[in-house]
Amino acid sequence: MTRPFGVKGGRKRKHAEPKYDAHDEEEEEETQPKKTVVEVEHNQEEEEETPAPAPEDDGLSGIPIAPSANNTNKPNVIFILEKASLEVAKVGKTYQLLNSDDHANFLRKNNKNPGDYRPDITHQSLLSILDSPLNKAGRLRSVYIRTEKGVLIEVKPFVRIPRTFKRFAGVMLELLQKLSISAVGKREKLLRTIKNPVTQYLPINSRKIGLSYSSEKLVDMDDYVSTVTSNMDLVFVVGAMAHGKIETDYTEDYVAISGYPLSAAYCITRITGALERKWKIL
Amino acid sequence: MVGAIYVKMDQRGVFEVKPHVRIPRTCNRFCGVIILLRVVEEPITRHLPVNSHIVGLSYTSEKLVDIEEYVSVWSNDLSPVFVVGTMVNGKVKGDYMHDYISISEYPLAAKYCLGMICEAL
Repeated sequence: MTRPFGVKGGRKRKHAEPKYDAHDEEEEEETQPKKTVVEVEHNQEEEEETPAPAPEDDGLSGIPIAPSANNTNKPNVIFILEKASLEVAKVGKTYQLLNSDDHANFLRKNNKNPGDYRPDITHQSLLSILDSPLNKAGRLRSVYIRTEKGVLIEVKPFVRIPRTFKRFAGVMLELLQKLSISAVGKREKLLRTIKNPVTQYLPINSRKIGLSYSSEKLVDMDDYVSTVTSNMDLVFVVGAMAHGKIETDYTEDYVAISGYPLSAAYCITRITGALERKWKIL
Repeated sequence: MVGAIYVKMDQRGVFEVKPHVRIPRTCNRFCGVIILLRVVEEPITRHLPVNSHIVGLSYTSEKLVDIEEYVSVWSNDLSPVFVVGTMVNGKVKGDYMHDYISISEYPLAAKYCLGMICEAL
């Protein structure tokens, strides 16, 4: 598998280094080999930063764009990650994506609970979706992320999300500040912030399903997807937070797919696995 | 029910993870815990049950199977052992495997591969 895109902008990379050095010396020693590998990868992927064009609403914003015209007749799946904790703040002299490990002191100083700041959950969830054979077979239409603050992000299914959290945090920081991430050398947007509500981007003939451990309706995922008619697009709403439950007014159904509490990434694995079996993707 | 998890490192041997452990969920804390893990003796086969059936998984295998059908033909007194690679490139090699299969026609992340196995069992 080819390597993911690195973080754009060498300046951000340089700024990130001193903050890393400020951590415990022990941790630095442990992760030294990993850091070396990361640096080598980053050097190979270093690209000149092209100025991002001003975000413009194209006329087709209400119509979802399928990755391939061949798939327009087959049902597709859309994932919505709700309550993602993707928040930018100025820590010291630089803007950073807040997370519970690196910014615990900063968050407590601002009367916030560090446990609520878990962008790694969003990262793991995105990797679960984009790594699935369902996506590689072309049946994923799009992924939407709605943050705790209400920002709505669209993720194209062919994007290659950075596989390490640090790089993911860098890409998300750039996305939240510049409102879109483009492919290198192209005008195509891989990630972009879009207007609320998310329902305007969903297909008309679609079934919107919320997932929660606290739902009273416990279903077997394989049985549940087999009850859906074959030509209907499916929209799954998964919470990407550590605690709490999602409450959205656009979901038509609300199910629990396990008797145990599941992590968001494993919940998504179960959904994609069931859809792969239904649509005979091996 | 997961019986045991063994992690084979590149240079330092094998360590065991008990199934009831609560592994830290963020990378920084996980790195801190790794230095404390107990290293068990090699070869790894001495820790496996006598009735185990060892299956290696690789995208490069010529034997593409549906994992649900594959495990359904096993008898109940068999203890399955799955060998999954957790590196970015390359393939797992071992002379102790009984079978070597591919469970998808696409390359899979290790995590997704493990998810498919857990769902099938």
